[in-house]
Amino acid sequence: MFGAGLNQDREIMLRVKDGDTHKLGQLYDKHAQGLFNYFQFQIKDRFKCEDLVQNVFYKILKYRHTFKNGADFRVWMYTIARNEKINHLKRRKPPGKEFDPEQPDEGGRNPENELEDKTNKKHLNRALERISSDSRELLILSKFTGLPYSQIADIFGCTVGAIKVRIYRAMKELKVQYLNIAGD
Amino acid sequence: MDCKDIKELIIEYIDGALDNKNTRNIDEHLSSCEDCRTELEIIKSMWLELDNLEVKQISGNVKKNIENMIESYNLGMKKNTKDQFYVTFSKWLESWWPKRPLVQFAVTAIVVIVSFVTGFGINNRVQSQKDIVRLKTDVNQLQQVVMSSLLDRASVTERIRGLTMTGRLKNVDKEFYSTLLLILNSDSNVNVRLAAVNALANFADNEYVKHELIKSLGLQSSPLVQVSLIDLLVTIREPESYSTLINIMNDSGTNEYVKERAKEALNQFI
Repeated sequence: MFGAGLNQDREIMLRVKDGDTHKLGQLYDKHAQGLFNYFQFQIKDRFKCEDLVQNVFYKILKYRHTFKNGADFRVWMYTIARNEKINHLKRRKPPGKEFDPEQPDEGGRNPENELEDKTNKKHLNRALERISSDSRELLILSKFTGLPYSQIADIFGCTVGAIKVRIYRAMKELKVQYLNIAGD
Repeated sequence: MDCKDIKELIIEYIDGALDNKNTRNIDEHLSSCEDCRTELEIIKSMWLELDNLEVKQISGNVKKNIENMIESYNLGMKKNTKDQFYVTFSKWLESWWPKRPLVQFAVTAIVVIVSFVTGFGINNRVQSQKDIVRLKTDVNQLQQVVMSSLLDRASVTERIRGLTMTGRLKNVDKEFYSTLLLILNSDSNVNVRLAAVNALANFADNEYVKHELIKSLGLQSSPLVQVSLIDLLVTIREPESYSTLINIMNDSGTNEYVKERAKEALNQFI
């Protein structure tokens, strides 16, 4: 079923490539939220993240002739998204914090386990902020975009085995930061 | 299986995506290695906790912007397809032109002789030619009137159709330019304004139109229209737009993407 979805994306993209540009709306409906997730955990400004999603779809439209017949649409789209993110971070002045997710609401209802839950999330958000940008990107791709490891490996240009080791290392990095924050 | 081998499989082990053999091997290793057991517990709880992080939803406006972008892109592509046709056509004509100088000379001589003979024949019909010129002028004026009436319509589609048809006109008067510029500066629909930019691109060699396009760039609020105008000014290489582009870049209210395009345009002028 998963493979069928991939083929379907490819078929739609090939129709966009052939000039049926309105089909791009279907690809947007399927993948815009995943793309937005990819950006929102790496760039703090929500509106900038939405701009970047738009830029990715603009690039897909503009460079649709470069999409190869046997290519995987999501790998191609996230490769464009990575370049957009890198270019955005290069252009930013001065180079500062890339990531600052909205802090969880501190007020409101206050049962003990809810408070603990919020604190865990807050620590996790801060730990995610402190790890290296490569590790953060890898964890976000694994958790919030729905991409399988094989496609993440294609995006990073390495083997599936190497990606799994890198995800494990990213989790260890996250663990170190999390325990530091929790111990403060 | 040792502690090193675990690295590659641990995430899939947590997700329950491993086959029975590997799962059994890890279970065996964990039962005898306390370090790995502790490590797994922490990583597992954090890995699962990541799923619970708050995720913001993308705004519905982005979809509308994407739809507008596709519409504007298609309008722009139609114009480019037309240009491509002329390039192909001229290449086709060129392929017919002989390569050898002697043959070229012979063809030229034949064309000159035929032109003289035809010229004598046509000379007798000068009066009728004048009539044809007058008729063409009348038809052109009539087309202007028809299109102006289309541009006044309430329907967005009809206004866009009217603007698309303007590409066929030649020798239009200043009043007609003013109608197009009025649409560009005041139409409520962004797609119509974009179509107006495309329509005015056909007359961008006119000094009055150039001047008004630059003025319009300073007035526009839609980033799509601003970007389209900047692209047009870059295409016609209009240096007069320099100061307007600087103003756009310095205006804090300008969309970031438009600022970048303005900056790229300035670099092209330099």
